[in-house]
Amino acid sequence: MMTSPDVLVSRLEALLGASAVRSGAAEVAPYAIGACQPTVAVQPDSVEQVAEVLSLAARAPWAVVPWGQGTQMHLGGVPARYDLALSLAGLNRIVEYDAANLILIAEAGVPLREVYRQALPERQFLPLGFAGTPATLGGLLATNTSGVKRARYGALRDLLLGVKVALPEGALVRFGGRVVKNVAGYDMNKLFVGSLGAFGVVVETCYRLAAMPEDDRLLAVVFPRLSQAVAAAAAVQASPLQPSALMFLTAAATAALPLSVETDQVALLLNIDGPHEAVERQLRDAEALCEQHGGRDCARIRGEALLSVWEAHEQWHAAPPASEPARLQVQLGVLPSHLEAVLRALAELPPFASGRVSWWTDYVHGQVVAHIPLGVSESGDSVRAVRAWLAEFRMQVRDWHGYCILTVAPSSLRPHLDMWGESPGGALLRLYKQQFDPQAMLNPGRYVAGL
Amino acid sequence: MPSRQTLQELEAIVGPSNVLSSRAERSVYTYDASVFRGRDLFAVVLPDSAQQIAQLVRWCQHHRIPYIARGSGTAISGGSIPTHGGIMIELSRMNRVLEVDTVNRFAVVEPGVINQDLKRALSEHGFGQTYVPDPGSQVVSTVGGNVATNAGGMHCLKYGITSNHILGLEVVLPNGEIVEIGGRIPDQPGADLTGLFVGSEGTLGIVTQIIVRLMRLPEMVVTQLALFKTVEDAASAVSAIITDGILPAALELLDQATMRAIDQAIHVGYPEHAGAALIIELDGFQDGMQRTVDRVAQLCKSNAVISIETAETPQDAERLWLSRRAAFGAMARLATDSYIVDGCVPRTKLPEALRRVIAIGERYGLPIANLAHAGDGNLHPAIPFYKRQPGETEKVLQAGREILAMCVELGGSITGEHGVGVEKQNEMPLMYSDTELEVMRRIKLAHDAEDLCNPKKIFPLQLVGA
Repeated sequence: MMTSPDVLVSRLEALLGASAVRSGAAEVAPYAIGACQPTVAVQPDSVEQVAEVLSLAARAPWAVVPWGQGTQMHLGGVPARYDLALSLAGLNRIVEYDAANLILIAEAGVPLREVYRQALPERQFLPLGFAGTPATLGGLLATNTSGVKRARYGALRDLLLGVKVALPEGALVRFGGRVVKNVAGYDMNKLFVGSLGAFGVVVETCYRLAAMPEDDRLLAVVFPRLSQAVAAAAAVQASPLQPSALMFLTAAATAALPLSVETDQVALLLNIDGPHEAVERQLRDAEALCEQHGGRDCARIRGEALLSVWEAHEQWHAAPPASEPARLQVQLGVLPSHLEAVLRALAELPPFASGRVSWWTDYVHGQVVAHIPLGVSESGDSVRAVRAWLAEFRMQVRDWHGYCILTVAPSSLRPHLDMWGESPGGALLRLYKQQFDPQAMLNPGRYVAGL
Repeated sequence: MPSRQTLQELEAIVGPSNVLSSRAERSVYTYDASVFRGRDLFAVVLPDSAQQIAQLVRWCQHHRIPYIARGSGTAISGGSIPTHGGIMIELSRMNRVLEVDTVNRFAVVEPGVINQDLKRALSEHGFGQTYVPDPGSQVVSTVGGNVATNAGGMHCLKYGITSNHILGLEVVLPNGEIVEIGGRIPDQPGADLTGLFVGSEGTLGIVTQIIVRLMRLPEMVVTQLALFKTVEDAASAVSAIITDGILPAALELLDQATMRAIDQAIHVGYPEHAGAALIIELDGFQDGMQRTVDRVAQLCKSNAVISIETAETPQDAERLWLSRRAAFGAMARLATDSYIVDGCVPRTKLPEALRRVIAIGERYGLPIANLAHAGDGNLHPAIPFYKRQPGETEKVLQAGREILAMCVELGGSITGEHGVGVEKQNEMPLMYSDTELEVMRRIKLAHDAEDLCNPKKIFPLQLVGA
């Protein structure tokens, strides 16, 4: 039986209290995704309430879009339907911090930077994002966002130990646990990593923490040419060095570095942490390697200055504020040995670009986040041009065993573009969607394979 | 006895010499390394390719015959026994290393490759890279089997479990389709399906290719043996080391009974007076290593260590590891059979867990030897017993169940690295509610609604029917 919107709103108010339920265009405006605006926005205060909200919404049935801090709402397609914005900001409790076992259990709405703050006195940290990351634990999980130090500390999927999930039918279930070794049944945690809420709303998470390294440094080196930077990165990977991050970036992305990088030059970043002696030795070796490969200026960065580099990294991945000129942002992955080729392909400006393409590249994981500036135009021509370029580019990237996701597009283009491209296993995701959310009420249309 | 006609159909798929159907041959495949035994098989087939497996799976689906994939059969939870007979798909012919890419740090292997053989092949490459996971069975167990159980090993503390090292899979699904999930690079768009399939114990399909991550070998490895008066002291030292911010590559704990059994078997020379031993492995750069080694010694001392010695040569270190790897084999000398329990608790609960294991053993009149991947809180109590003695197996299993319930009570898991199989399917409700099990089972139903692919495993019999 369908429930009318008014009845549903009054039920939600009865459940959550009137102040946790907002309706009316102005009140729900902050929850707009592109041109789509929900009818109602709610902010439950507990995981049980989230489950009950879903159960009510399922009866309507209403399409629900879960929200954390809203840092990643630019991801994926525009919702096909959007009735209810479900803010998880009220789920902001750290349930348990077990420092002796390096385990943290926290609700999904807890911002990562709060976890950094709590774990600092124990000299521990959760190696996602960086110390200033505002995104929530649930949001990072749903978007599969790993930390800057993943080369050494592991990806999000490696750090996640357990989840509690509210399912579309209103059930609350828990999978995984609080121990690192746990193979009891299917590893259901993984279904929710990068799931963009397609199968359920993650309301609580359990992560393993790491001990904070004694020393933490960044070596930044300027290279006159891309090929030199790539060769240096490859040499670092072939050496005994164990960087926590190995990245390179175009001049446009280097504002936070205490170095001057000219157009066409490339900066290489090496994050090295661990015991003092090992850090010093690796910095020396890395500098020597970079010099051999044509590295020019270099700087050793630590402390606050290091944090601002990580902040710039995070900003680079975020959607631009409305004040900035429009751009397309792509995240692509290829084998590290193909990075140079893919970056060269990007440098051949797509026809719709209004300026140089700039990027931030993670060498170890073969990942590039590129900004393509757009001349603003809402015409069908530009949609066609972007589509054609994207299709061709994706084909090329696929030949290199890679993928190419469009992460940011102006709201005039977004509804007309396939943001994800093909996904290996897209057919399986469709099967699971059928099992978990047959009414397609969670984030409909935003996810891979049109789910 | 399978009919000639059906055998011919199977032979047409994999070739006549790759179908085993005599009573003796079929019988051998009803066992694995567990205490359980499966039902009579229809036939054992040895395919050579994903295409053949896809044909076999479609054939089974068409005839509604259960099927199960098998590597070396080292499962100790009964994961690879044919509980409902049918076709055994033996993967030993699919043992090729297809690609090694040291620049991009991955290798592509077939499921039948023996774990140790892969490591050897990589070390012959000479690029200083390896595939890290090293379950105790690595000399015989296959990478495919390791993927099926999400196997652990000695070096999980620092390097993680099998799942952390798998980038992608090629799988023959129960509908006969061959799909690729994950890939050569991480973060493919969509959910982490590779992670979901790793550890699914062969119930969601048959893995036919595995993309593994390669890691650089550390510049320096220091192996130490620390002896303690009591298991509690050793376990407290483990917590102290990790809380101090040190992340050893391995921290293995052996109690007195284990040391004795090992000594009787291979004469390592563990001293009689020690109540527990810790094998500690530190790895990393030479620079600063001595400071870490000293700090570990200091932390052991503040936990009443009797002695702590560093292996002087790689051979000495290898001998220490050999003794640890020999532990389960050594148990086999104590009685005709040995039951290895696999449970996990939060690390700080280890002293209590090990104490309670011994108490449970005493209550059942069973001698229990304790060993543990202590850094992970993963305990492996070993119970030597005589299967032929009436009632003995049931008693041992009952004691095992109590140990698992205790692990869950302490915030842990009923299995750290060996899987559920048939052994623990009825213990799953200790960890999951009915709803949770039903939700987990949706994944199975999405692929294999008829439950033909390694049927009636993992989930409680109450849920899947006997």
